[in-house]
Amino acid sequence: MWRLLPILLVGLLLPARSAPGAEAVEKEKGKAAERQVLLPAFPAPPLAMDGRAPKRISSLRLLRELQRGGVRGWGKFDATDGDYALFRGDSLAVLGAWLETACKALDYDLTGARGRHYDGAVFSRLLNVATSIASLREDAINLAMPIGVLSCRRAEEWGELPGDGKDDAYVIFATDAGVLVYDPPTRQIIALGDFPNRDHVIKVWF
Amino acid sequence: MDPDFEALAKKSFVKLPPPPEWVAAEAAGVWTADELKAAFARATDTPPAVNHVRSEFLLPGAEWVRGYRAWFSKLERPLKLRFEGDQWDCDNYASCFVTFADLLALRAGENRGTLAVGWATVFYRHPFAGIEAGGAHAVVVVATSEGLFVIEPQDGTMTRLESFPNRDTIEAVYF
Repeated sequence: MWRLLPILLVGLLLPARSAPGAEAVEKEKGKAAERQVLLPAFPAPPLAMDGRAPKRISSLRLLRELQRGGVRGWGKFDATDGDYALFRGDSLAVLGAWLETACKALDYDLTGARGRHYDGAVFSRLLNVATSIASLREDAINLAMPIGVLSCRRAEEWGELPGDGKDDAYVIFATDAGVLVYDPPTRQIIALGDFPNRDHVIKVWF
Repeated sequence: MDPDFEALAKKSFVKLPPPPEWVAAEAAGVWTADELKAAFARATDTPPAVNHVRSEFLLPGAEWVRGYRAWFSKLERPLKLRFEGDQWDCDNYASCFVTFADLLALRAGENRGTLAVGWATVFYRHPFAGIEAGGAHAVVVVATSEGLFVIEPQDGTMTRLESFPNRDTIEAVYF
């Protein structure tokens, strides 16, 4: 019996000895959780509706809207999809909130971004991807999200942004209130027709 | 525009699996836009229009890109991605690939420049990575520490630009 005792003791100790292993696993899980990417749930696109169907705009009409807004010259517009939804012009504030919350979740200070390296195309793409993913939860919309990139020369001052001749990029939305230009770090938004650098647009792509 | 944070207040968070660690030292190279265009011109006699905002691009390490590509392939389920006409098609896949690469760099505090990860529209004269010839398609283009690569974001196939069978019919690239 006494000869068996050490074996029994080892047997009893085994679970206790495996505990640090379990702790290590938990610790690793914790580390993995820390490394997980957390983003706020993707924002439902604020679609302008025509009865039960979302309002739509063709890429050709979008081009005309841009020209009406003052974008002149050939070859300044690319669209990869044929038809786009239209957003409600008065409901974009939720997209601004989502963008700022997503950046906060990534430890990125969006409102302070103008003091560092900043590329507006990155944030336009992010909004487009986020609303496109959210739109997949809706019934078949079968329309592309109307969020693009507008690149231009900053020839004229626009609110907090100087007219220093540098190249810059903004988010551009097609809405039922017209085409709007949005700068996420400064939260400025303006109708394309009133955008001070509309004569200095380099390219718009959706 | 004042952000409407109240509208978001009740929303939950989307959790994505741990991504490959961004190692800043591996992304040590920088290309100017002219160098990027020259790299396309070396690979094809019909280089595409390159659309960009910034004039310099940070080259991610090729190993990181391979790890990122594997990570991206795991996002389809948590993000519930599915092919759906204009709503979610090849350009959305390509743009999504670029977007999440940007996000990981931002999350890592990378602030040296725009990542040299973009997407391109291509006319497919030859089949590649399961996509048939005879139509327009969108792929990812990445300039890395080992040169320019094309990635099919829907299945992760990655090849050097010089070996991409449709390199002569890339129409435009967007960074």
